[in-house]
Amino acid sequence: MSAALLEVDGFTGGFENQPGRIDPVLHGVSFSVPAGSSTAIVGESGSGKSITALSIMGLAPGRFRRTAGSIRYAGQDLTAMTEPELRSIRGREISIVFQDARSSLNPVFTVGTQIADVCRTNRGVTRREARKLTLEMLDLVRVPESRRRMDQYPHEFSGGMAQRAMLAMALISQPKLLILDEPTTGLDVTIQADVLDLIVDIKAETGMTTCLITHDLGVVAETCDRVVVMRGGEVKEIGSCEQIINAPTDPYTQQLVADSRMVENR
Amino acid sequence: MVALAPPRSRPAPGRAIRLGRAVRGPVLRIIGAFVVIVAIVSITFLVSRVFTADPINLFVGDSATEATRQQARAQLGLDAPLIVQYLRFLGGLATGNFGTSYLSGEAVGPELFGRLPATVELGLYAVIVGLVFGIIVGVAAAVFRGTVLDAVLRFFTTGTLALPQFWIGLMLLWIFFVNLHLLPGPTGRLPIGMESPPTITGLYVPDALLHGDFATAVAAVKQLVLPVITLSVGSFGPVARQVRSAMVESLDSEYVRTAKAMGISRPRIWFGYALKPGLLSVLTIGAGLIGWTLAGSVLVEGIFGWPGIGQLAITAIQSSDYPVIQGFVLYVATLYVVIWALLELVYVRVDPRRSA
Amino acid sequence: MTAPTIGLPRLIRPSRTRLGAAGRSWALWTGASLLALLILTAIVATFWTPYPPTASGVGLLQDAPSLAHPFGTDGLGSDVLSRTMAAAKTDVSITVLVVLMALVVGTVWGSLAGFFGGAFDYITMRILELLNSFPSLLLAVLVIAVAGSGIANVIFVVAVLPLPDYVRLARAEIRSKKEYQFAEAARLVGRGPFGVLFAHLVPNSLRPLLTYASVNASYVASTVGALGFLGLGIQPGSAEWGSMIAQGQDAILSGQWWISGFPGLAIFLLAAAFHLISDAIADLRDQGSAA
Repeated sequence: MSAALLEVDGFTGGFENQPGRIDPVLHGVSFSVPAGSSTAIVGESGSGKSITALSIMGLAPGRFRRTAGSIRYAGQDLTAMTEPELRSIRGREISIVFQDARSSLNPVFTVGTQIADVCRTNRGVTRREARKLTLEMLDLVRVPESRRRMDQYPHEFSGGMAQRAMLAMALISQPKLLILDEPTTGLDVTIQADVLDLIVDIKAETGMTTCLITHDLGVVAETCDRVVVMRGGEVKEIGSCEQIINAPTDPYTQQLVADSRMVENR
Repeated sequence: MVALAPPRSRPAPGRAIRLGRAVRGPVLRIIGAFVVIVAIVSITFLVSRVFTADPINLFVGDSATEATRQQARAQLGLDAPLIVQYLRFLGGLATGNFGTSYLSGEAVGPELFGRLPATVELGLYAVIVGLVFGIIVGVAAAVFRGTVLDAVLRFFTTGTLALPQFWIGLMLLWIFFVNLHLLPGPTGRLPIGMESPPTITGLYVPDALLHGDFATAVAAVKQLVLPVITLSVGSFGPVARQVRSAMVESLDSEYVRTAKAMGISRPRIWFGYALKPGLLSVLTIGAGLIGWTLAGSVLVEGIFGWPGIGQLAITAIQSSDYPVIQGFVLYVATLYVVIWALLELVYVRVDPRRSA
Repeated sequence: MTAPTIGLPRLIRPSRTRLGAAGRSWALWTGASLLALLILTAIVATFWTPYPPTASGVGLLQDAPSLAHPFGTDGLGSDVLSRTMAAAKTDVSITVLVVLMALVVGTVWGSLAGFFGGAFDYITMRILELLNSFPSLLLAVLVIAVAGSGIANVIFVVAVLPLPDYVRLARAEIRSKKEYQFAEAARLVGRGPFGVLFAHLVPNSLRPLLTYASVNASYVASTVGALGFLGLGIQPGSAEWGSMIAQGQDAILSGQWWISGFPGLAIFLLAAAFHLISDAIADLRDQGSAA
């Protein structure tokens, strides 16, 4: 496998809920995301997977403090970067799709405006060109009637449609790494499958590296080749998708796999 | 899975019905506004007639004989029963006749309209200044919340809220006119002896500029500085507070996090992505803003010798010149109703969720 | 630090996390001390002022501040310090009286409307809409213009203006709480409707009302001053901050700032005191609901 695009190394930190006291949430989290791979980070809520994802983007909540470790993207330490340096990475190099796209999109701008804005910021194109690219991107993520849709506001979108728009926004600046933070949680089962298919297809087309964060092993099996299992702020096991699902070594992973089988067979 | 029934298509309404629906809202609103204005004016008319001592003293002096008084009453129509006076008054309004000032003997309508541009020029600039600075300070305080800058701005904002406006005007005069000689004294819209520019808009600064008369424009701006600052203080504080609290909320929102994650620049996030949702709450205090500015103009115009409607109103109030007070009430009520209607329109435009 | 106990709703626990507690207690203490100082001044002024406040010619005319007259003298040779102190009596008492009146009437009215609903509630709402469609200081000026000036009218007008806000706040609070379990419990143990309302619901709804009352007080202080400045408030002659400022208005242009300066500062302090207190209470509430 090729060199790691993203390396999280001994990342440790916690929330400073009271001045001077840090309640730890991450304990030496280490994993890597090889270039071109689809890596999944799996864990229950509270396992620290989302805060890890936000830390990669430099968007951890204000109370979060890093106490040790580093996050390296293409050899550069993201944790040592200034805000302007991080801004040149965000969107352009690493992009993210959040859970619950409808509240992640700005309610008072049209969906098209928001996507075109990202496009103009990161690709330096004209307003007109950005609009054209936005339209193409909405078609690519299979938003029907994209021309009409792009002038609508997020509240006029269904959950699944908004998630597609969010995906379009993340993809339009052609990032090398795409983080998907619970992209299908809260969607209907059929729509979930549609969105996952779309992600797999786009991944196949562009060869982009993806990092999927989820609590759902079922989702992982369909979309990923590498799996990182997290619990309680620690990495429990790392392995290929096949190995994790067929022959997990860690007791927690074993239980996780057994539970998801049970759900599937029910 | 349950098969969903295909959405039943409703027959499209005919053109007349659609037109009727589109027109009904605004028409109802205009009728409602009209009713409110008439009600306000009627109440002031009746209350002022019931409560007051005989306004005839304004004309004839205390020493006048009863005969002269009667004659003056008849002349002014004050001898008729109240209901007749009221109907005459309404009839006058309908034909654009606002009555005659007891004090000056001038017709109220032309007097009010003649003073309107002065008040508009002062009030308009003051609202703009108050809004712009209020928004900038509110955004800055929210973005840097918890820092020293936030504390300083908060202190300053609270200060402007607590300072009496008329007193600020006087102190500014003392500092910048009396002591520093930087700005002109309270002589109205232009220094004494200066000709006003030929009327186009009625606002001196644009009028002077349109005629290429820079000397007059500069003089007019200098006259405006202190009254505008004084008047804008009234709207600055509330706007800054409102913007700060709305911004604090939206800066923590998921949609601002998205914008950050996509690499959008900080000024664009502050003044676009975070501010626009927050501006809605500023609009909700918009009517209050106009109210404060109007009320403030009554105080500020007096201090700066500004020949506007506020000054006219205060003189009228102090001397019980009812026709003028009536005219002023009508002006305020109309302005208020119009502003409310405009705000509603803007609101729908800014908040897409409202238009549905 | 403990939360102030004024009308603390019994249901809301005092918050545990106290971010910015220092700033908040600073605001509260400064505001409360300022207010206490002004009230003390008003009390002292009823017994003693350096010079008789209404006497003219106790010093030179328009004399600058000096040891004998720390705030200077005005155009009639009266001592500005004595007059400012005497005026504290008028302004502070009017402000407090007005706010108490509005608070009590507004709370009772709004609670009844919110609790019983029906036609009374409907009529209340229509009245509120009518009152709310008009700018308040302007309304004050107009009412006084038609009804005549004088202390009673000023108090009446300034108390009526914010009434809609009190009524609306109280109504909303009561409506949101009347289905709560503790109200239900009180009903079950045999409390009559008025008992439930005034012994349980109203005390639990006081905090937002007090926050508003405090902001309102600062506006009342400014409005009373503004009316006095326009010559519509207190009869000229008796000391009041706003009318004192008006008396010094012309002198300012020839450089005698102190005649208007000190009374203006006094209004500012009174208004600022209430602002600080309301900020502190409002922050406490935010913390309370966040915890």
